[in-house]
Amino acid sequence: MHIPDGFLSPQTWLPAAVIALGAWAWAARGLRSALDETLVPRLAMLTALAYGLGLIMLPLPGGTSGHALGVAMLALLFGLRLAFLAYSGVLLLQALLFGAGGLTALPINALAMGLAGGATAVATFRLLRGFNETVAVAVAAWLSVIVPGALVAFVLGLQPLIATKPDGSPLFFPFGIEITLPAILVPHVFIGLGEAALTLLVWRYARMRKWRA
Amino acid sequence: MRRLFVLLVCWSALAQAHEVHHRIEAAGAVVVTLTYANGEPFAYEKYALYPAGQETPRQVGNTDAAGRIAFVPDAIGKWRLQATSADGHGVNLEFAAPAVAAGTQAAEPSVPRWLLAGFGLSLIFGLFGLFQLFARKKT
Repeated sequence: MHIPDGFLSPQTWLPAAVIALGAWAWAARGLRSALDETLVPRLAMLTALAYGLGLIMLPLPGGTSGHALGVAMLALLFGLRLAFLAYSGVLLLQALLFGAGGLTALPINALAMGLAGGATAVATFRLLRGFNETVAVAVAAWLSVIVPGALVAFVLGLQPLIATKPDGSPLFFPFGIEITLPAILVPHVFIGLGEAALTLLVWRYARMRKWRA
Repeated sequence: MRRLFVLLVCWSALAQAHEVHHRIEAAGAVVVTLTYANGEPFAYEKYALYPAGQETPRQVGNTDAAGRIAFVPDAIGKWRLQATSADGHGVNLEFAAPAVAAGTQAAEPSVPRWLLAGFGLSLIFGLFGLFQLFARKKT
């Protein structure tokens, strides 16, 4: 789901960078007071876990591969703002060290996976926790993969409409939404199941240890 | 009529029509192999290959079952390869084609993956540690 460099038109990543800068500023506001001495090591540990999860590529049907995100566990345990900041850092490291996702695409990747993924997890959990907490965590984690997947598919699929060569051929990413949406969402339906199981495991551990939620 | 027939036959022998000729030879080529991080081939995916700085691709197509692209560079210099899959994976890389005749290799700079992963982890813990020491609120 990490969009590499060269796939997005400047008409896409420049406005996204402006929005992402605003979002990062919003998320960083009051950071010092939000973090106490027990929270920082826990956040560090789960950020490291999210970083590690992004490096474990699982082969998927169709010859492609995918990996879990880990943004839901960050958002459910530490809140949206911290999760967004931490996950943006994870994406930056993955881009710089492994070329998994590009620097020009970082704003879109961070907004889709960190912000939209985290917000989806938090909103879904709040909506469903009264019904059943386990179900709420699982659905929240599953949707935290599906919603960013749909956003990334939408942004990629828009590229042939946004930027074309004089002959009409796409200048950047060549596939339209009708192709990107199923190509990204179908594998992530299964990745989301793994994400849900993992998030549930971490959530239960955190509850057992009485971590702040 | 007979003359016309002979003329047409002779002319048709000289005329260049729409046939596509072929020649098969074992010539040196540069082979770029694309794989996912887990080693699975980036198979049957679209690619376009450009001489660096140019907008018109010199070669387009799909990678083969092993994720390979073979091309014969007609000039020594830099090339740009854009390969994409519908699910958003791919590369957009610039590289210098190695000299075909010399049979050289231009491998991807290979810092071991475990070393990079460890470096990333140490950065995460280091930065959070610094934050813990210097920036967090005092309790």
